[in-house]
Amino acid sequence: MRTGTARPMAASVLLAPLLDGPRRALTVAHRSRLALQLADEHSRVVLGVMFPGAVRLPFGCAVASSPSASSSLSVGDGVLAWGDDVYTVARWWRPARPRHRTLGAAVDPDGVRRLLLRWRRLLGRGPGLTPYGDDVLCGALVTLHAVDHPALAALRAMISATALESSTTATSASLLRAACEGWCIDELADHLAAKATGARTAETRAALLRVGSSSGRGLLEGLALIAPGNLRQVAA
Amino acid sequence: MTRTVQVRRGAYQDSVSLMLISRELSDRPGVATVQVAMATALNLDLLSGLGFDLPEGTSPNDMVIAIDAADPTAAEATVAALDEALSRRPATAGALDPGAPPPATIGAAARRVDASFALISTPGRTATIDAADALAAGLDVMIFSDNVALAHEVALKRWADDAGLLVMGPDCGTAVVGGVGLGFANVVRPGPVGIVAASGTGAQQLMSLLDGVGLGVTHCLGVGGRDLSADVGGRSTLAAMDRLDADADVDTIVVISKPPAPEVAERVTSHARTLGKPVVIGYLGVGRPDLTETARRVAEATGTTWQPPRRWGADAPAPRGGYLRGLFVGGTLCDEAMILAAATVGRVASNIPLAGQPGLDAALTSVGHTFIDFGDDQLTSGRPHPMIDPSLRLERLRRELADPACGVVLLDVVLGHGAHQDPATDLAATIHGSSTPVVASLVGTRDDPQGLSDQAARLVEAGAIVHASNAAATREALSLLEVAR
Amino acid sequence: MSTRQDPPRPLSARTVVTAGAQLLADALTTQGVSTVPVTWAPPVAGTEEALTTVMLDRRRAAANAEAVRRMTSARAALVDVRPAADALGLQPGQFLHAGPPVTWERASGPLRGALIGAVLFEGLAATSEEAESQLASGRYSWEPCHARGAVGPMAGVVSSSMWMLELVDEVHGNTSWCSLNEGLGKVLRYGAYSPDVIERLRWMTGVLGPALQQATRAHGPIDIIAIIAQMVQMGDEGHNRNRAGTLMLLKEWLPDLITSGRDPDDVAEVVRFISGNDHFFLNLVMPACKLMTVAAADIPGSSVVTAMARNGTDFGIQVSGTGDRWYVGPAQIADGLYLGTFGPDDANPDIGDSAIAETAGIGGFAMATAPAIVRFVGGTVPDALATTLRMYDLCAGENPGWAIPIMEFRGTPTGIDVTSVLRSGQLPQINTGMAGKVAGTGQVGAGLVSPPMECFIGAVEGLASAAR
Repeated sequence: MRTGTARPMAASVLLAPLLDGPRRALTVAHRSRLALQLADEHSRVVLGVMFPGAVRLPFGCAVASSPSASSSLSVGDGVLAWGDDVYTVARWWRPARPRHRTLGAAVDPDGVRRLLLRWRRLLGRGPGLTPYGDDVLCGALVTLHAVDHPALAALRAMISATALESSTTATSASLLRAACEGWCIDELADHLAAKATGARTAETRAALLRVGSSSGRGLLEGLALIAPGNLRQVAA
Repeated sequence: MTRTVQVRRGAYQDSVSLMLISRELSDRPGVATVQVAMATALNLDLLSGLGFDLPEGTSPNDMVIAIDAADPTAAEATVAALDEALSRRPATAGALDPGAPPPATIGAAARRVDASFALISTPGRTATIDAADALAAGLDVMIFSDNVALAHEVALKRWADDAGLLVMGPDCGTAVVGGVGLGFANVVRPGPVGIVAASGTGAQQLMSLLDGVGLGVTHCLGVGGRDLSADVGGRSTLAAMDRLDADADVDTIVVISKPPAPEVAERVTSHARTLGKPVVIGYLGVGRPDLTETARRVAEATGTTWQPPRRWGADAPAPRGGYLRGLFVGGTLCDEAMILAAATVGRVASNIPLAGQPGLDAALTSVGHTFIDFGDDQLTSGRPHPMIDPSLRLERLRRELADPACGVVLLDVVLGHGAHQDPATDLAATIHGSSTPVVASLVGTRDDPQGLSDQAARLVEAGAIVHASNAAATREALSLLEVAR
Repeated sequence: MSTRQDPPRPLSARTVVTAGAQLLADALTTQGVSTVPVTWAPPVAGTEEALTTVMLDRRRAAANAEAVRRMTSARAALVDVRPAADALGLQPGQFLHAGPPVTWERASGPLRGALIGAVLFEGLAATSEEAESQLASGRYSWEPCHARGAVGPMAGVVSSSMWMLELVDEVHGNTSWCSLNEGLGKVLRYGAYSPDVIERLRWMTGVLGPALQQATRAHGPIDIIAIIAQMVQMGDEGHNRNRAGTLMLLKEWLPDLITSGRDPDDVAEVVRFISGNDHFFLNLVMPACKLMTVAAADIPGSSVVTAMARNGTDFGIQVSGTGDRWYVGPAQIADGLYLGTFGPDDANPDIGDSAIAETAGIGGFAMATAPAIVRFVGGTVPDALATTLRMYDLCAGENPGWAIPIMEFRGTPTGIDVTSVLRSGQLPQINTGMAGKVAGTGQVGAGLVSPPMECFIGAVEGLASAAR
């Protein structure tokens, strides 16, 4: 039986296995004004709770207001339970996963080579919830996935063989795992789409730069590392 | 008792808000009845039926307040409470500056924020004005409103066609756009299916059945019941198919509708051939696949294993005499049930009769096997849809269960956004203890806010037999009738 | 690239504009969708059919955008000052007046008073009684200033000997004119015609006009649009406050006045007269605004208002899509503050062509930029901001050339769309002066006024017939 106050949430479809599965306890791994990052029993961040105005993470669910503080926190059996508050899915959304093979023409092979050599030095480098080096790495991974680049498989294998949780923050580790599969925030996807279609990129670039204190800039740098030009320049 | 009638000239509020306010005020001490409604012909009839003396010369833009209270003080207090309720501003969320007054028109709103979609539910005689404003602002638009003139629908859709925009509706009650439920929509998981639907409850049945086999839906684009007529020519259907074809998240396209005009059907079929994705076409009609069969074909097209939709409840009782009475909130579900029933029992009367079948009188008196669609325009003018306000159907259900000529009651229960938050409880209370068997089709997904299994359990507890498939529910209801054997 | 070949844009309901049932908007909010609900109300009763026709006219959006483009790209340079006889070919016994056409029988007190004064000023009659009987007898002719491309504040009466400011829009090739502002108090434009009023008019004709003609010709064209852009950033809304504009114009004229070789006493009197009258520049704002709006006239399908004018009896508007046709309704009494012991009973209904300022997006529309006068027109500073914000929703565009600092330099709301007025039920706000209703009284106050809804109802019906 569902008890307590029922509240709606808009959940990423990546959370479906977690929500449909049996109930598991969670803990708060990180708390900020706009979001909470929740971790499972292995200290892996598995779910981001986002308040209005927060950047939409691929493994996030959006709620209207901060839940009342409580120690008991669990996910499963169709709900996210937080003390007396029970969140059910009012809307499922699919996080962005850009695919732009045409952008492959803009890929710089030297950039890809540099990434394969340098990625370990980027990992966990910088302060904050998502270190700048990780943001660059995420931007690069999502771009490689978008153009279906053959180098992605090798990089993905190396990253998944790494103990990410001991190299960077738990939240950033989860974002890196998502980026290996091509999932990213809407702002990066919008910018990639604008680049790939030769549309105006000024607005999408500005929107991406507004993400986090430097996360947007990091993602943009990662993108530029792999695909420095935009498509129109390449085509010309 | 004191009867008070007031008219507020030009004080417009939408019918749902007024219904909620009427309900809230009726709970006040010393108050027997409070009806606050726009002065449409239907509402005026209802009020005079309740014994109120109404002033002459009102227009549908006027608000009528009718109060039946114990004494004048209670009536006055109710009017004061009404004024307070009417002046309450709804809490609105949005991307506006907190200091800016809300925009007055869709065009003004579109100039303020980066939006690409408008949802219009203004009265039908003015909805075209708002829809044209949305098109001029470059927005895709869903017109929930009904009673929009055919010529206006054609003009709007021609315009949208030329501008590369989509007009969903008029009379589009159901849509899902990228997981966002608009109007009466179910909570669906994103998936490979994209639906174009000229029927709201038909789309809801399809989405629910697909959800039952774990198949997700990315978009369900309603186009309005008239889109595939010869006059409209399927303009929105074709545009919606193009949008789905261009959407990378959609692998399979489904078109559902009543049988279109032949030349329009031909146009849809030949357009489907030009698309890069498989298109499953499900036209409902005599001798055609029902919605459940269409769902099965969609599952097949996507390589999903099909399982027959769920049934909840006890074993079927022995067949009995009497007639089948179908009480529906979904027009397409009602149609589907009538088609199946007519194939078995022949004559089926309805307020939305099938071709060659009898209609009903103005009081909707049951004659033999009878089906009523409570969502029909004639019964919703100026009042909320029965999926929100169940009172008309509950009243009729009570009468049918007491009617010795009624052998079996068949009804639909539709869940999802926009629908009543707990339709099963009132139905269960009415059904409970009745000797007449009741078979219900329960249209909903596992994530719907009402709780699919909770709703089923409530109906079963009251003695009803519940099916996820409307077609299966209809077949079981028919099997309970002696005449159908 | 043709839009037809573009891939259809992705469907998205990330942000949804909603109109109608609150329940449907609430259901979206529950799903975490950003909604922008509009404050929908039924359109003004009886206009549904005409509005539908006009809204379905596909030319409208582009035509209105073009109207705004023309309005905001119009220029207005003061090029000359000369008598109405030369500038407009006006003959003795021919008069211009504010607002839509009106007969003597229907003319209000201030308009009658101003016409009497003009007859006396032209020496056509010796006494006011004689002038009045001549005017009533049909001996003279009069027509709206707007019919000649001119504009006149309050009664707006122009006779052949009066000197006119002449402004030119080189972009669109139009010319507009306005008389010289007489100052405040008992003046002809408020319907006063006492000997001191006539005496002042004679000085304006004999000294002021020729001096300004010489200074203007010596100076060369003066960019009035640019001065308005500056005054809007200096607390002038251009209708009830023209202080900064007046001083900036005077600054342009001063060197040429000083070196004109005219009698220093005359020059001093001219400078004293202009600097002592904060509204002198209104008579330049008005023809500049007329040049903007006339540039936007006659665009088929456009529902943008190109003139709002009152004659003290009727309020009239013109709409781009139907050219110079007037749509009239009864002029209203302004709501505001009264001078001295005057009260609402003393006020004449709304009068003057000065609402051309609001038609071009300033005056009441730029109220946010003029907090200094909010009390004079009976409001508060937040009211002023709210008024301008509200006017944006009635307008088809904004004028980036006239930026309001307190609104983050947002351009003034420009191009009133009659369909937005009828759909929202909100009327344009006009800042105005009030004339006494008895001929000869003069100004009795100032305040806020709106056009009657009849004008907009008539306009949408006119547009609908043109579209069918």
